[in-house]
Amino acid sequence: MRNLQNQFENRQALVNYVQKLAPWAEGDASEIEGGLSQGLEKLQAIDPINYGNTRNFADGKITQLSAYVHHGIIDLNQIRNEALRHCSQPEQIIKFVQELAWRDFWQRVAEHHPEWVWKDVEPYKTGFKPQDYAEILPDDITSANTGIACIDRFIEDLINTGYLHNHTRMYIASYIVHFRRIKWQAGAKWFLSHLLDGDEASNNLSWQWVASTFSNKPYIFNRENVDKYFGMQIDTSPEHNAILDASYEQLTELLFPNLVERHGHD
Amino acid sequence: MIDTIIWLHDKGLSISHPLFELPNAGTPCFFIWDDGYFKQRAYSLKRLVFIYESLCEMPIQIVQGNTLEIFTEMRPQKIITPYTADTEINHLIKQLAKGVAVETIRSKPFSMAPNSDVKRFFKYWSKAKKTAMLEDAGKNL
Repeated sequence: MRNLQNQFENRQALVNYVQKLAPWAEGDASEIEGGLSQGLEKLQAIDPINYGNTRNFADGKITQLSAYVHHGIIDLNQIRNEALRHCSQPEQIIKFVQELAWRDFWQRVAEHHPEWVWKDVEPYKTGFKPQDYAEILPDDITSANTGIACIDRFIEDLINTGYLHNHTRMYIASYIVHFRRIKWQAGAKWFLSHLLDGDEASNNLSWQWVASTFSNKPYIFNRENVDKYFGMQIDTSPEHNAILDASYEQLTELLFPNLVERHGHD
Repeated sequence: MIDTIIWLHDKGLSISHPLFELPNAGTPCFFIWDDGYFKQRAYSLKRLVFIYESLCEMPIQIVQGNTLEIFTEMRPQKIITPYTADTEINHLIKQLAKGVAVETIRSKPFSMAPNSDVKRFFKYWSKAKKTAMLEDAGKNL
């Protein structure tokens, strides 16, 4: 047992020290800094009233507090209490509090069913069996070279910052599970190694929600949806996002042919 | 032999946690930088730096080593640690509990909804929202 250093001249010195402690760890440090002071700064900046209408957009009033919550630096009680100070009527922040509640919900589910964190809670509702899904993530995904501009950009953000907007997490998860037919576990594991807020319960059960093993239907998206919420920030052009450039009906037929056939016979 | 130790793991990095309100001022508090644990979780450097930065803002001792070996060496009578639903940490706690009393303490509640088995969010939310929308989950009601 040896005592480790806890004071550094600057951030780079700390990063170098951690790199020496864990030479096996991949990548670089994120620009997002840890610590209570950073968490409190973000807590002071929350806008829980406007959060409700803007949260799905790239430039929405999201809090980026999730990493601090995951590590117990700031708890949900503190955030809710702070949010209440911003409103005259609690109804104004109901969406904001509801999103906090998702975290509480996932933790409760994992507490009662720790086995659900890595095992399918229910069968896939995609017309496919678990064995139809690949076990391993291909290199083009982990290196942001899928050829789909928006997906590659989201993956780059994940690798560089360790943070993703919730909406983009769903896009990537849906792409991996439904467009590439890879097991959600492979994607969830990859997310956990990168996301600063990577939490087994929230992350894995959300992947299961997208996959349909913990929801009533698979979550899919198309280019139009990405364009609506992220079009101002990233390349959502049809020519660079061709496979996503389809209606939901077309995508359902393409991605879940067994479902369509079965429905056809109903 | 040490009487009681507070063990902060990486899901409970706060000195405002209710476990510090227990009547045991002066109890030694540790974070164990356990390379095997981090490696097993395949944490990227980003994640490790974030954790380390958070530790450096806390008045606690950071020690390097294997968690189980360190506690075997210290032989405390009791370990107090923040509650988490994390399966890896809970696996460690179970192993520790074979040789020493381990008490897990929960953070302040977000809602007073019964801690019952839940499967769908909106079923949970219908019970949780009444207190989730109140300061301190309406604990003074």
